[in-house]
Amino acid sequence: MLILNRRDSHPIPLEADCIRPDTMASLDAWSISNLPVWHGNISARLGDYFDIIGNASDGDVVVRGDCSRVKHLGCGMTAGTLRVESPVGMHAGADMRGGLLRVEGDADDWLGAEMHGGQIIVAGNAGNSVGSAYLGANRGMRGGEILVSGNAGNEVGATLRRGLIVIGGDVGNFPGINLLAGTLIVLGTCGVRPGAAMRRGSILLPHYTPELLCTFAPAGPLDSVFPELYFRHLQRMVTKAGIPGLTRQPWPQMHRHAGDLASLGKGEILCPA
Amino acid sequence: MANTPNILTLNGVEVEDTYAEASPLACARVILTAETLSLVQSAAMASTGHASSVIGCDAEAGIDRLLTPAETPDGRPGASLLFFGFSRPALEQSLVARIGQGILPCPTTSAYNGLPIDPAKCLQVGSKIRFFGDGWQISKLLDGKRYWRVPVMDGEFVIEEIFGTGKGVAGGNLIIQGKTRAAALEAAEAAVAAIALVPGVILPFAHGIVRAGSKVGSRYPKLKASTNAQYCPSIRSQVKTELHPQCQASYELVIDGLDLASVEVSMRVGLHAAARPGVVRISAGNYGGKLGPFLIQLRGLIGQIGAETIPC
Repeated sequence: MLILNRRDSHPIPLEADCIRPDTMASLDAWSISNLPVWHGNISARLGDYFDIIGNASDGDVVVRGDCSRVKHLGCGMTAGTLRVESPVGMHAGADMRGGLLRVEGDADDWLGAEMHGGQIIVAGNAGNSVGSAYLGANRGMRGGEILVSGNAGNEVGATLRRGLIVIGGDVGNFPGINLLAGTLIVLGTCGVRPGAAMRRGSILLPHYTPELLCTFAPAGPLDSVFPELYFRHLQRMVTKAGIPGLTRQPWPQMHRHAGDLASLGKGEILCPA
Repeated sequence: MANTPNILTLNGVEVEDTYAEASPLACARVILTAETLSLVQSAAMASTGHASSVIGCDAEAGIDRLLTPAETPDGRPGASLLFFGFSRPALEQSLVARIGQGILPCPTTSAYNGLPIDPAKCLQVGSKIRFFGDGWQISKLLDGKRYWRVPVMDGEFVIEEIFGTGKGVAGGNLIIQGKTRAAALEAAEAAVAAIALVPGVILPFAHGIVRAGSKVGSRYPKLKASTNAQYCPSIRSQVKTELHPQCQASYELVIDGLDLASVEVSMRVGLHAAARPGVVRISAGNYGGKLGPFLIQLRGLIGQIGAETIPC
């Protein structure tokens, strides 16, 4: 196991996309220490900010200390486990391809943006644009799973193409905006205009009935085992992740609202009547 | 004139020192679920019907066992169904037809794969049945498995996209010869009840019992198989019979399983259950070792049933 200890916190962001278990697995301590990072506009070395203990040959990396201003943690990682025992900065797990990123604190904006695979688990809250597409991109998250135990900000799952995003608490405005496919589950409440311009895909709101756009057509109660499959999958996920409180409440039968009819209209929002 | 085979005994019943000859067939396991057990049974019967032998059917199929809600992917009552075919393409065609006509139309049903997936050897089943949705079907990728949600008149039919296959073993068998027809039937039913407890095997014929045991070929060129005259009591004086002189009727049990071990276990428990008063001899059918690579010796099945061989 490789342990990276942040020596002190700093308001200027540290861009450390080199912190990923797959590339660190084959490096010794000296090489890890010399990995490039950016502190604001200054090019620096990882060893300038972190104490490095052990090695990552087993694919296991633990990051300690205040990382709330450390960006791009686990960005693009393909394998291994990266556990961050503090809040993380923006873009954590962005473009991730595999492995597990576990954040014990909160995560800032763009968590798992455009990720392709793997799993992200956040024990706290997350910022805006979880699993979203970057501005100008035509596809957001394309695979994998994101589980946020707490709340999340606006535009969760924007332009989601494939994969599963689960938010244990509330989300802000425009969840699932421009959704292409995939599944977004929000166990709390949501802000305005969920699923705006969605083409396909599913937004599940098992415990909250939002005010929907007029371009969603109600189809009555959905009689299908598909929500039950997701509920059971979620139970397994949270048990494995050690966040058992998330699925304590069973899901009621949900009503289906097809939309967004202003777009392709093959998506759906499922929520109580 | 009767043969004089080597004879062993079990519970006072003669056991012919011979073997059952089984052969490999491609197999698939479908986990069927529905709202109630009654619906599960109806769909299971419909989808495994007319599937007794690949001699005359597209597949051999049957109900492996019923499943409790705790054992199914969606927490509803279910059944494990086994299907066997000559080849994977033939099996795929059978599954699409049988699920499409037997399970899909039955209220509240869903169908899931029950075998490990090897991408090179899997069957495209849900990916074909989805077209019934006529463009309204919805795909969901969950935990590495793709499901299809097909809209139907009571809600949605959910089916997995691909089904795994295995190399099953078909043709395990026992031939039970009774002093009377009633005694032979009673012993055969007891054996069927014992084999029903073995997971991973089916008895594909109606009631699990065959009275029309067959041999390969016929004097009529169009027939691939014809009656096994050696075991027919009414013509025993006209043919070279295999029947015991005291036998008035015989029944055959045909067993297909996911692997050789489960077929052997089921033959063992079936043999022990059938060896009861009223039965004079138990033997097995084979083709002189020319048809299948699996030769299951009855001699090896006679020993006491140990805990390791009794499934639970």
